[in-house]
Amino acid sequence: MRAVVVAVVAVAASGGVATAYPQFQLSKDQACTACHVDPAGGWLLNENGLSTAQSLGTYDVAPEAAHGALVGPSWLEVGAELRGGAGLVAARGLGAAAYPMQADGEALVHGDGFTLFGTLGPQQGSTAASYVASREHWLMWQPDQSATDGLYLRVGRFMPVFGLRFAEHTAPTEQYGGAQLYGEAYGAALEYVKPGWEAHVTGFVHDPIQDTVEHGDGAALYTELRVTQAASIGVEGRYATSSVDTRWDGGVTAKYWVAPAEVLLEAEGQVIRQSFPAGSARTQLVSYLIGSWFVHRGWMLDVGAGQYDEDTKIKDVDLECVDVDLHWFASSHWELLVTDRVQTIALGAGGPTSGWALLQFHYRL
Amino acid sequence: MTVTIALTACGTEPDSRPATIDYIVDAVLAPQCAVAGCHTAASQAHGYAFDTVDDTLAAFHSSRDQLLVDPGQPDESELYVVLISSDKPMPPAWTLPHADIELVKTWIDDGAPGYTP
Repeated sequence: MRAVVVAVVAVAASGGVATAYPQFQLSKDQACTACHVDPAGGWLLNENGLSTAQSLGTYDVAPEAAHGALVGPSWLEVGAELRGGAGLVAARGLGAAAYPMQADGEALVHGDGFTLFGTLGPQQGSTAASYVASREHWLMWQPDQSATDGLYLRVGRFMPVFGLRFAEHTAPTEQYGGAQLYGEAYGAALEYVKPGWEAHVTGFVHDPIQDTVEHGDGAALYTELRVTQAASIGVEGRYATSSVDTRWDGGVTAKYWVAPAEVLLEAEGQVIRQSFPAGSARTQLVSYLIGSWFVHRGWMLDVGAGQYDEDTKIKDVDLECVDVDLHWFASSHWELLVTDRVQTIALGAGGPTSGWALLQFHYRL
Repeated sequence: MTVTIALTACGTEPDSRPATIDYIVDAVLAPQCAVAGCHTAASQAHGYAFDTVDDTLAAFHSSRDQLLVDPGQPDESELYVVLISSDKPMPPAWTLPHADIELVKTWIDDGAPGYTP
């Protein structure tokens, strides 16, 4: 008999983060910074981002923080991100699960070319120190702060930019490819972002205070070039070394906007060389292909296919998955989405199949 | 791209990976279990962290209700039991490759070298 397990996992146990939807990028002929303060995308929206969020939602409400009630002086912006989800997971048995994914407050102050940004929110932890944590806090400088692109210098705690930044952290290229959830590190980044091309170079060290999934120190590079009005290609590289392992990651990305159908195709493939202190090593492959279709105002459908081979030498340790996600941007503050995955080990060789179907909400204050 | 890589990614060699605590932690437990919010040193779901060999050995020593690892007895070792369990499977939302589970079993069968209860 299949057991039904009700798992209520503490805050952020499988948490998401309110990162950018890159699906919007090519359709709007813009870079992430057209809508986000963060040159990597995600977190607080700028004025244009608020306007865009308002135009995307089914219901037209004021996009500012707390529907305009928390609008302060021009040098201050505050916000919050709440996420949660519940549904069914199926590994060997079918179970129900609930995931209180994220509850982060965020604030920034800016002036004279500088932006100071920070987040604070609860995280599950066995120690008081990890119960309330700041995932990101950084100081950024721009030569022209009135511009929404150009040169950016950042120091602080953030996620080193590496490859495509999907909103769903379960994308195989994020989960296994060096941009894991809670993979933030302390670093210094030189970033140049324009609609036609962007480049991010980051040197980083792991957080010595808060434990994260990133234990290594190293560097990350990502550059993306728009080769036509509808297509872009990118190159990524990353190195990190720690007492646990040393990883070299390299990969390519591609995006293609199918304008008549309003479908964005995105693809990413990575090769990872991982060596261990005891002397062994392995090569891994991970890839993801996703198509996003703007079905109607406020509605977006994603269909993705991914693959992860944890050791290319060893038979039947590869994972294949298919994702179907339906997003409803009810308003500029509320998003509801259904995320579904079916994945199998060693496709065609009779490996086990698992998956999930979750209803999630995302509330942006 | 995904299809192309998938078609070229299937390894053919039998599993010759070392059934050692170091390799199992670094190559199996850390990437599959020490993920955000689960068995990281910060999160320590159920009190267990599998980020590093030291954390993992500490988890083995701290196990209470059932031994996480009972050397020589995989069926009595919670670590192995949950990997094959239908009642309380781990990871809860996906399944590890059979070869990885067998690697854990082999290490326990061999007496769990590197771990002394």
